[in-house]
Amino acid sequence: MALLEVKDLKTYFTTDDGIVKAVDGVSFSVEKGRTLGIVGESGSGKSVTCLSVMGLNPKRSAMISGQALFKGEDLLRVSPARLREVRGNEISMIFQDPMTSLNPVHTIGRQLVEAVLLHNDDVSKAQAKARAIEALKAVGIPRAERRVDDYPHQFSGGMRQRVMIAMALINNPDLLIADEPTTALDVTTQAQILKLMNDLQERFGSAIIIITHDLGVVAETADEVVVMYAGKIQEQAPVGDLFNEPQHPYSWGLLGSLPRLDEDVERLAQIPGQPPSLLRPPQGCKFHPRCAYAMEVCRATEPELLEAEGHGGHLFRCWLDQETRDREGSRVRQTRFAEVA
Amino acid sequence: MIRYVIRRLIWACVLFLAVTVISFILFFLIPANPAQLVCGRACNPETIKRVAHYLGTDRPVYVQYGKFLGRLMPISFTGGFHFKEPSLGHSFVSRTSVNYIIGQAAPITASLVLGGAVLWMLIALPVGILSALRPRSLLDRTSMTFVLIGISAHPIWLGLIFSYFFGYKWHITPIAGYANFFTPMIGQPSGPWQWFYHLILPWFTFAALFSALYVRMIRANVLDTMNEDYVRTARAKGAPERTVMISHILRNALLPVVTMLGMDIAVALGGAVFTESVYSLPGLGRISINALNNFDYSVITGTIVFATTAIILINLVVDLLYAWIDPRIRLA
Repeated sequence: MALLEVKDLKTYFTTDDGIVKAVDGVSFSVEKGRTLGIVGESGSGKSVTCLSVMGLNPKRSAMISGQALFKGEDLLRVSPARLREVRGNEISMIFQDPMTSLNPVHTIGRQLVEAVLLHNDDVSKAQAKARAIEALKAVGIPRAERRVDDYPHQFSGGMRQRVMIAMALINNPDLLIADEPTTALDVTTQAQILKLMNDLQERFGSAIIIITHDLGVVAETADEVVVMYAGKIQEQAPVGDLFNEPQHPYSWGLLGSLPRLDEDVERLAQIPGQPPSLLRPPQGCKFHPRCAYAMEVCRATEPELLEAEGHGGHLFRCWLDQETRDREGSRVRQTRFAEVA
Repeated sequence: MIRYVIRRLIWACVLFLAVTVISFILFFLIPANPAQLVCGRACNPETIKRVAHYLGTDRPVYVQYGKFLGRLMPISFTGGFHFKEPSLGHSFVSRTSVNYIIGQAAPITASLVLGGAVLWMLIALPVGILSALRPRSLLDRTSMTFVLIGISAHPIWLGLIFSYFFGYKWHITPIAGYANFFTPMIGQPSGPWQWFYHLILPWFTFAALFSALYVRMIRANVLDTMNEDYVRTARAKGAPERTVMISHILRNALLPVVTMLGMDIAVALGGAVFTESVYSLPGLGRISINALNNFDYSVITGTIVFATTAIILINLVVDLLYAWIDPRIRLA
């Protein structure tokens, strides 16, 4: 049984202008000790998917349906008290902006201790603090014994993200959801944080869901990738398959827009146009207004999420025939990843 | 922290000097001769001159200011170095010591302003927080309507309405007047209960405007803070809603309220004049109005100096308090 199995998750928000289908029928699963990458542009529904699983969406305006089976228990239907037990203990989360994700008026020690005490009734405050120092050491904060009494504003962005990771891992969760954990950090810090997450995963055997718009991050960390666009999964594959045989024009666009260091180009390739409004999404395939390969059928009917021929576990949502997909997919691979492959 | 305190103290001194200089000069620019007014119509120029000399108003402004400052200092060098009581001078009109006049009036204004501040916080905190928790609910809409009334109603109008209905018609409270907390006054009610009883209406009148403003501010702050990332972090940790509210939302949302409270108590001192007038409370507002009508400069400057010092001290306390509760200020 998968650790987390999300089935046909739908999250709709009612707004003054109408219903926003932020997540529209998403299914995926994560195994123990594995990493799932969720990729997409801003507004593609990747964060909302995970917030829905954690029950952290604004309650009043969100309508959520489907299932999120965590160890067989549907998190969308458990009591608020049970959900609080799960949060921060069995599933924890790291957020995008470490500058604003820590409470500015409490010491980081107090915030870590809070995380321990919320889920362990038998631990004393002193023991919790010892564990907090331990956790800070594990994420590589120097002089952790002294830093534990500092306030968030006394740490740099990268250090704060380490604190967030320490806080997320302090109760040895089975699943860690990292929502754009490196987006707000500079490149060298990004690499350190990703390495840290990989190391900790090896040590504790947690499963990780990493949400990102950066395919580089996915290539480094993920085992399995979900590509989302306009609230729907467009392509889903093991990480090697996605980079070697991408099936969906949107994935081609994402791969094509990766910068390369060994080539001088005036402009990076980009996907033309803007992500669609989720209030009034386009008819048919949600990607067709921006797709260079759009056909008549794309404008009328949305394709199903189907398995690629000859590739178990590689799903995609596109009307293009296999010949075109194979040809264009390998062209993207050859131009972008000649050396890598 | 110590350097921060010292810097604040130096600023407080500079501010104090600036305010006294300006108020002193301002009143000596008014084209009226206090000696003439003190003396009355019947005086001949000779007498007026003698009175002016007696009051010291025949000297240049800077000499008067110097004497004024000298009286204010707690030390004296005339007749050898010794400590003395700082003095604000004597009233031109009644020759009573200004210290005594202010000593009588200040507790009344303090009772009104501080009691009013407690009352407006007691109203604004729960109403503001509950409105923020249930935005657009019946409670929220009702309280926002009262906020609008509170902001629009002038304290004099409100005071007259209150004392007519609660005092005159329904006999629930006194119509006007003041009762001492400590010293008994002959033939008049006094003591803590009478003090409280006489101040109920003034407190509500005084607090109406500010509780309205604070309900709105607290509501907005709490609503803002609820959307902060660290509140989501707290929920993601598995914290129950009560902990999220108290430890994460309120602690941050009420930080700016502390600063506002310090500044508004100062503003409120000015507003106290209206409430004191309506309920005939012999506080600082009343004595400064009387002094203005009589061109009683020493009482006016005395009141200004006293109020300024009080405001500077309140702001100092608030700043230090703020540095204590907000760790980000301490290093700055």
